[in-house]
Amino acid sequence: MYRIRTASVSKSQLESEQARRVREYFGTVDTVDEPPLVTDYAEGKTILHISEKRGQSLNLCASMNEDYVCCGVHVLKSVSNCPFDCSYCVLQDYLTNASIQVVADTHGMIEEIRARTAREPWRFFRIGTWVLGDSLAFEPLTRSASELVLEFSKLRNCVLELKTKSNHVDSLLDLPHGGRTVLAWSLNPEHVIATEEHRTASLDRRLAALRKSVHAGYPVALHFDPMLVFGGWEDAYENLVRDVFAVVPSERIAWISIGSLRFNPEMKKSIELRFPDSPITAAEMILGGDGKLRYVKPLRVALYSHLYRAIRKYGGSDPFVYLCMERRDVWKKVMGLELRNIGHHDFEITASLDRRFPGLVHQKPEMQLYESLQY
Amino acid sequence: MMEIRDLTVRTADIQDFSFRFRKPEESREALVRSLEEVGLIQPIVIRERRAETGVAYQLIDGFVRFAFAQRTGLSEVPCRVLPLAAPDEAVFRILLQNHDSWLQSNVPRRIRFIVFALGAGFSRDLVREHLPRLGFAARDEVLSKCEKVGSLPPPVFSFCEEKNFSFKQCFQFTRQPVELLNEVFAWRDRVTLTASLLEEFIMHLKDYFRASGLRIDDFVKDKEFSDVMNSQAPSLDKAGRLRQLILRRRFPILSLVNGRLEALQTGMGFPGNISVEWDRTLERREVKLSVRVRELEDWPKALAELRRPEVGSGVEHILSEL
Repeated sequence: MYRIRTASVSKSQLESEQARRVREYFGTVDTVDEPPLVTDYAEGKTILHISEKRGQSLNLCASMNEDYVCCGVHVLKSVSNCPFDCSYCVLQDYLTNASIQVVADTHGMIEEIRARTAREPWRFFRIGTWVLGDSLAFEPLTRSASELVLEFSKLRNCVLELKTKSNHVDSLLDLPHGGRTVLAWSLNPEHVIATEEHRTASLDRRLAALRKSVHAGYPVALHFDPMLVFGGWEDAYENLVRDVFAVVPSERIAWISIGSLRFNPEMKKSIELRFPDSPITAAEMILGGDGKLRYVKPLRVALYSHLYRAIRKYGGSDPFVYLCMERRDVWKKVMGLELRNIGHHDFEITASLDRRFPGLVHQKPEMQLYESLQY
Repeated sequence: MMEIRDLTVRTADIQDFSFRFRKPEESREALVRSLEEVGLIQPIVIRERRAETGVAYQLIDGFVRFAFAQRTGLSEVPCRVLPLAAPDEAVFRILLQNHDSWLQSNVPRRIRFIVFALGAGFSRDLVREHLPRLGFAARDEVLSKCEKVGSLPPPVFSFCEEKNFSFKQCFQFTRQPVELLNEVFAWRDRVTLTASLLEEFIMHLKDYFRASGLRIDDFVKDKEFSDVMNSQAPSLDKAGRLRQLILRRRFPILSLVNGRLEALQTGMGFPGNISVEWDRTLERREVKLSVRVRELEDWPKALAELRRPEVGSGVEHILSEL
């Protein structure tokens, strides 16, 4: 199932469930003090390390920028690199150590989350594990996400988001999740999956997993990100939305995000070298105020507006929809919303969850408090 | 210490020319002129070969001088002769030393030398070992990259040499389609192309072709392209028009929207001291109005201009486009 050539475990994590399972899978694994240092990104995908927690694991999403509004999500670095190989993946130029690392010290991470969320007890935290890798890609092997699901079910003012391009949900379905984990899918038309999202689950498999998750009572989230421009994108995205809403009822959707292709200029070369047949870097792009190349604004507005209309057409007005890392004027053009700041955005998502998922948010969110947050 | 003898050798006995390092024509011209003026004074460097090869000597350094001797009918030339046992490393060092000043001033020249050395049969280990002397890291990857640069079309490589491009700049060209390089470099006969403009054209055209599925052959058959290239305009102007054409093709949406905004700007009918600007990438939603005032009485006139209804509606339209 995986292309792992070597696996190792940090000495301190020898007794962890992840280490036990990896030993069982590979027969034998090395015990090491430090994670193996791998500079080659592709090679890193073949080397798995079960790691201890090193330093701070919980941060605000790294995409913070004045011009482009972030949703204020927190990220838990529980996994680094992933077995999939999406042509547009930002990790290609980001990871200094490309070996796949799965943090086994769930207890340590949860303690850090407890301490952080206790400092602002009025606030509701959305915490995702997808910033440096796929949340569920290694779940059949490590069951790390399962441990997090169980721990989050006991926490108060936060919710876990596990975002994936896989269909690895079976081990999560019978867990007592308490509705405090959102299972999320990164979604694109099958054409994009086949040509750019290498080694990921097909759309059918993702939708099947989505259906199972809904039946297991999980709130779910949809991320139409990155949207890509290609011949026939309009029909492809509309059909995608139609197919998704045939599987999942709107009331089970915690949030939907929309974003489009963006990457650092240095990454253009990396993509062209690793994926010479991919046309994605040849699109009409400009350098945004956050130093990232992205589609020209009229094109982004066209993409988002088209998808947003499809979501409202097939999913109704209920699901909360937001744009990931977009300008305020784009929000206004696409959704008619005047977004003041990140705190305002954070508040709107929380208020929507409070209204639509009774009991999930621990107290009535107050806009003034959210807007006073310093991000 | 290797024994080197000074001898006069028959030109007919020098028959192995595998170490010929070809420099661009202009580098040889000064030496040829000097030889014609004062004759052959400096000895050439040769190495003994085994008799069974049928060749007595191998020419190592002094190809221009040897060619001069042959051309002018000299039957003998002064030589410094390396013994048969002289190792390749010694030969390599001599070559490096003799070409040192020509090589050091220019990265592409050094790449040319490395490619020559590999082609002349020096081992990769030997060449790699000497890379630091040529300003490169002693890595196999550098050798491979040099070989790629060395296989660029000759006009492209010569251009890199002429402009003294960095290793990175030279290597960039190896990532471009050869037919695109050949075509764009051929335009230099008709259009003034600076190094940065060439790089820009190649980069944009490559992306345009990848996005559109077209090829360079389609582009050169395009009427707009023909109009620019066949116009009687000065070659510098042609370069500007060609640049605009390529930008329009590469950025069709930006070109279209900016064209509409320019029409709105014209419609505002401002005098020369008032200008309207916006972010041409269309990313920032803002309009900048600038007023240049030289005399105090210019100010109320400018204010009156800005208050005109066409200005308000023009700004409104520009903002709505942004």
